[in-house]
Amino acid sequence: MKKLLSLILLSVLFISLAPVNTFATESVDYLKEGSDLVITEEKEPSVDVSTLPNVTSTLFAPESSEDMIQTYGLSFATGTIACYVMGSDAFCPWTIKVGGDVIVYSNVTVYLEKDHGWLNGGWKPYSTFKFNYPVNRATSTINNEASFRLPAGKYRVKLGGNFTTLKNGVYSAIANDPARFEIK
Amino acid sequence: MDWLTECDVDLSTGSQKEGMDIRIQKIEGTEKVNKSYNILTEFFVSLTAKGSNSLTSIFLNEPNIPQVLLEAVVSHFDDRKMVFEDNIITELMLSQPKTSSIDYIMHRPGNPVIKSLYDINTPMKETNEWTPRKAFRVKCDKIERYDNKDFDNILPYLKATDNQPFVFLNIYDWSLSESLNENLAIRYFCHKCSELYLWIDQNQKVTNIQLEFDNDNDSLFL
Repeated sequence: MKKLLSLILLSVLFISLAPVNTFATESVDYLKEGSDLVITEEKEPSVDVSTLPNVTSTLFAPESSEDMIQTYGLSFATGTIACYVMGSDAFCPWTIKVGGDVIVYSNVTVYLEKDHGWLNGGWKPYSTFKFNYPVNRATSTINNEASFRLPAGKYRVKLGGNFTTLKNGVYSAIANDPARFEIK
Repeated sequence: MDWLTECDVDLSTGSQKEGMDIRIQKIEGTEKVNKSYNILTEFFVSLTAKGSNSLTSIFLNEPNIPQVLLEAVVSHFDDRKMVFEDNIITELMLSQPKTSSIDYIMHRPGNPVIKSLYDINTPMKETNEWTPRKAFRVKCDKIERYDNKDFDNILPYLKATDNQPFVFLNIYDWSLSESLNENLAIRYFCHKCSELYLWIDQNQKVTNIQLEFDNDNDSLFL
């Protein structure tokens, strides 16, 4: 029985890691994705070009996480996300790095969850932010940032979705160890 | 095709920087910039317009955004971000080129190398399929030289990242054929680069062009 259970668990794990050979067919619209609560570019911190290069911003104790991404054919692939808070806005820059290949397409998703408290179901999905686009100048590192305007509460974000490399195709993320932040 | 040879390309990069503080900010206030049109506009707008909803990065190795980039490139995009690593600007991320800028380029003769790479007047067949790809080195001694002084002005802005010795450009509408050796972009890059590779998928579609430059050519870059 234990062996059977182990086999089932292994199968589930393998399926979750298996490479995908086609891009997701959902529409590509990363700036407009997410719930009504997702704040898009007009709410992000911005820089007036006339003030460059003396741009400053305050970082509020980011708590970062690292998600290992399956590495068939790659020497390594990691995703990192961290969040900082400014008032009721949360900004979550992320980075994905691969070794021995370059990334040609981002299909990365940032998942936001809110803590509803132990008695109310704990962490529940709150919003998503998708980053679906061809990377015109393929590199071993890609970055972007999800931003959210949020009511007070405790939140956490996970890096998910997938990306495509030139040599090795599509790789899916294993979301774990989320970055946490609080809106006061 | 005696001008192409299949090869294995090592895409290992230099040391990866760890623990960098990454920040990304929108660039606003470009209405105060004197918008200009030049070869840089044509290249970066065409590249980004060619790939539907695509994102184009320009990597910087100086702490400021060069004025020419602000005026001729950044101001032509609706979505403009910059990446800071440890409070130093390292990258511009551009998407959603302005319709007016695309129209301007579409109705002008255009640079022949850019037209060869990203002719935005040619409708693109969208495909989301990924198939295995192979690298082919272009034997440049079998390729007729083509010079284009205007395009030389773009090379400084094609610099690779610090840890990556090669430059990739997405290609959207080339198919493998014998006549591809007459393509003006291939003829141009062949004699500017130390190595030139084409990445070709199972559908015989050229998906990427890989450029490598000698250290002697550092003067080409910023």
